[in-house]
Amino acid sequence: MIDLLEYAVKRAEKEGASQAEAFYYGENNLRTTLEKKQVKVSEKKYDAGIGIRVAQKKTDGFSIGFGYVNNLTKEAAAQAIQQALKVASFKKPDKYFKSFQERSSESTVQKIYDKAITKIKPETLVDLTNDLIKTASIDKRITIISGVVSVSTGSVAISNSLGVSGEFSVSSYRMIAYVVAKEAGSVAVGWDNYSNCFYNEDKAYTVFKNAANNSLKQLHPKAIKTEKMDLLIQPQALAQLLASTLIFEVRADSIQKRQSPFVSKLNQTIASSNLSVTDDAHVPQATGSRPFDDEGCPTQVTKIIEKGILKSFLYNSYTADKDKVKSTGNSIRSFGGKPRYCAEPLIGPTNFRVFAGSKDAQDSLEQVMSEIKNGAITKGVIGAHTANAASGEFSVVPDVAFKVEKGEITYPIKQAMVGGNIQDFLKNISMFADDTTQVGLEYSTVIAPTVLVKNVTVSG
Amino acid sequence: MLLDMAERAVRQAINLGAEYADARAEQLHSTFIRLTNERFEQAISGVDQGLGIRILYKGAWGFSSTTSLKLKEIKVAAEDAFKTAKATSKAVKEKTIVHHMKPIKDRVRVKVRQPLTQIGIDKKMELALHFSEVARNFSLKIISADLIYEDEAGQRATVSSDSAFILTDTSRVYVGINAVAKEGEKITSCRERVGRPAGFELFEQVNSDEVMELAAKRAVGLLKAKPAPSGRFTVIADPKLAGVFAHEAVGHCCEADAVIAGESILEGKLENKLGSEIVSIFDDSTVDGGWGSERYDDEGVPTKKRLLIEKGVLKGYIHNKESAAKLGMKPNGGARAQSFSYRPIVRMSNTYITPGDYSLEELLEDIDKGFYLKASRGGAVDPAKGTFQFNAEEAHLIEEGKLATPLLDVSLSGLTLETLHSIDAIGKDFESDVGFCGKEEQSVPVGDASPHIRIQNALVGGRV
Repeated sequence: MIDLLEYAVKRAEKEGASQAEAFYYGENNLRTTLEKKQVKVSEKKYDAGIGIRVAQKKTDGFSIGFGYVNNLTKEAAAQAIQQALKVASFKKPDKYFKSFQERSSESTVQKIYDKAITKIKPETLVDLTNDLIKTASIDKRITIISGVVSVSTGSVAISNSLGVSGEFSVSSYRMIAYVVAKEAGSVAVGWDNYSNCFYNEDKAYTVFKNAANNSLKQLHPKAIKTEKMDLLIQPQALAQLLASTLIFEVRADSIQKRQSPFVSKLNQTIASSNLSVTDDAHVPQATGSRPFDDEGCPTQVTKIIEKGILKSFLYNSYTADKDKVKSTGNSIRSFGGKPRYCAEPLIGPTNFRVFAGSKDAQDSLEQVMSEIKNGAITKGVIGAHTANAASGEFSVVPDVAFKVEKGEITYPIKQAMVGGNIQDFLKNISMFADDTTQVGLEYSTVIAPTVLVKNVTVSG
Repeated sequence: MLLDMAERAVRQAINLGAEYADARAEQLHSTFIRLTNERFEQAISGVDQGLGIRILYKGAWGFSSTTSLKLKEIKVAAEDAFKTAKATSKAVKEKTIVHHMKPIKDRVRVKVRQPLTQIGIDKKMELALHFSEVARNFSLKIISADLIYEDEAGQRATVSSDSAFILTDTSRVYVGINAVAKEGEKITSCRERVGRPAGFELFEQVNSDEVMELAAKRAVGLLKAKPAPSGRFTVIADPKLAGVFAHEAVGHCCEADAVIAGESILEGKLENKLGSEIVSIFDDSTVDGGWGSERYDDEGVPTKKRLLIEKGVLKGYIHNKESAAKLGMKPNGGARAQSFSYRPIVRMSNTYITPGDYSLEELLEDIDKGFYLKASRGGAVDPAKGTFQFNAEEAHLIEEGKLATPLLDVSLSGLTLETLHSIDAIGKDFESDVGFCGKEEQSVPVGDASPHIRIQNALVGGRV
């Protein structure tokens, strides 16, 4: 693939680009979808394409253009170049753009490609899915079992005018399970999910068992009264919440556009002194891991919050040049569910790790729960995407949530609401459980334990 | 060429032993521009091509798609689809059947004066800049305008083993704006959209400048809005909000796949009276110039004007070949896919409430205290429970039959079936809106339309 990309870069230069960059993404995906306790369909998809960026030097700066094709021929690449050049000629120059990613030393990542995944046949996945349905059919109150089990292998390649050239392969194994239980007019939904670079059937059974148990435990929920309480936020809920708030707020572009509460807060305390957050692209088997980012910049481990103090933002090459710092390797191409080659690079996390600032601050979930006199625990939250990322305010509905009294789970909670802002949440995180889990987002993960947040208003 | 590819794939599937197969081969040029004030956040153009083939084997579905249109790869795709169907067939408990259609061969052309592929992306960017300027020039209080321009043009071949051999030209163009106004500490925003299956000439036919100004005008108007009380009131929903209600709260429940899955409150309710006699709702893929219109669906079935609710009585569901066979009904052209790389599933097209005979003044005059709600900023619907909640973009208090104070952050919520009974008057006007509907990770263009509707005893929430 590098050959076609190098050809495209040369051709773009010949046609008038001062600098050019060609990015390739190709993926093979195999999945089964289950509905109503049976396998509905299995699918196999192949998708590959290239996206080309050009920079055109004008008197007062560079203009950038982009075009893509999903036809891997030289003629098609030429078409994308033409489109990119047209955009660049029209756009006003951007004085902050210095250049595309410069060549630098490489970084390596362990275990992001599982060869076993390439050998998985449709039958294997269908058989597994069929067994998963049996696993989740633990009770006759369970009426619906649905979900998706999916394996993918993909490859990323990039080449640009500055000598950046590289490719790597990745694999992923993802699933989501939804289970509905019904009893005497009460309908309850339970779910669980999993994402990893490596295939592992045991994990699938756990996910479907968890979803089934969750649904049963949610039957006959009770309303709660509105009050301040201690809230245990499990990894999935924390991931959903952070994806729509903190992760957006620590992106350098959000800071530069002043759409973040953390503008000029670098090296200040923004969270509980116990909380640390890193963006770590080198976690083995994590679906956010990668040796270089979507502009070809080597990835790294970036300290974002260290013991409550804000240490860095996430940069791609453009925002790094603008702030005169080095890119953190967080360029990511993501465009509303479309293939990656269709998108111009933006900024995103790799593996967003949330952990206790000191090792001894971790306790078992039971120990953490035993500290709670009056509180709740929630597995997920609904509606996090409606959060106002610029201000950090959110209002979400706890999903698979239970009341906790005197250290013990007492009953499932009927529709409640949790509102607040992420800045207060970060300051009020007081304890960490030792149940660290990897939660998959689109091209990244949040790796976090269950956290205890004090003084949260939960409205019934 | 595309037709030939789709036909080859289907023929190969049948040769392998498929009992049914359908394939779509596409080649589409697309443009996506996102402009914030004068800054182009995205200006993307590209070509998407590919083929998707779906196979039914021993009552089980398999699907495969590829972005390569080489004959060799199409063969691989057909084989992969067969392999996946065969794998599914080993696990399937309840066999799927599909309703077979009469053979149909057609070539669908669109009348386009200015083909989108012949207009450079630079011209489209220029237009986007112009629209943004129009909105920002409306008032000094407009602090920003977010503009999205999207278009798509090309060809799609649809071939099915039972019936279809169709080549369709497609051309659609869309512009959406979000105007943001500010006064003191207060920030408000409003959206407007235009979209049609058309060429670039759309912008000569529609006064799009006026649409951009309207977004700005509404956002500025909201600056005077006050926090709203909550409780049960008489509500008038404007055509946009009523259209969203028709689509979200009623339309999704009429999708036959949801009915079969036990995820719709309208399961088993055909011919039941669900609402007041003045309520009739259609989902119509044949609306001339409709944003969700298509001559054939993605299974190659001719589309229709589908009667969902007639005078308060549930009359029909939206079907694909599978749901029709399962419920012993006829397909009505409701199978749609986002692109070749997705399976066609049951979807809406243009969903609307038919007009009544009240003027807005007449709707208003009996109301002592109520709410006038305009457009939707989003919300949530549970088709299985039949509950909905929409956040109105704009709202006014109604006092003694007249529009009074503008209000902030008003939501309308309720039970769909209760609400259909509580609609006691319908306007004689009619207005449509365009948007995109998401279901099972697939997004398709849809139109909503409605007159003003009046709902008695509706639950309105605000922040007091």
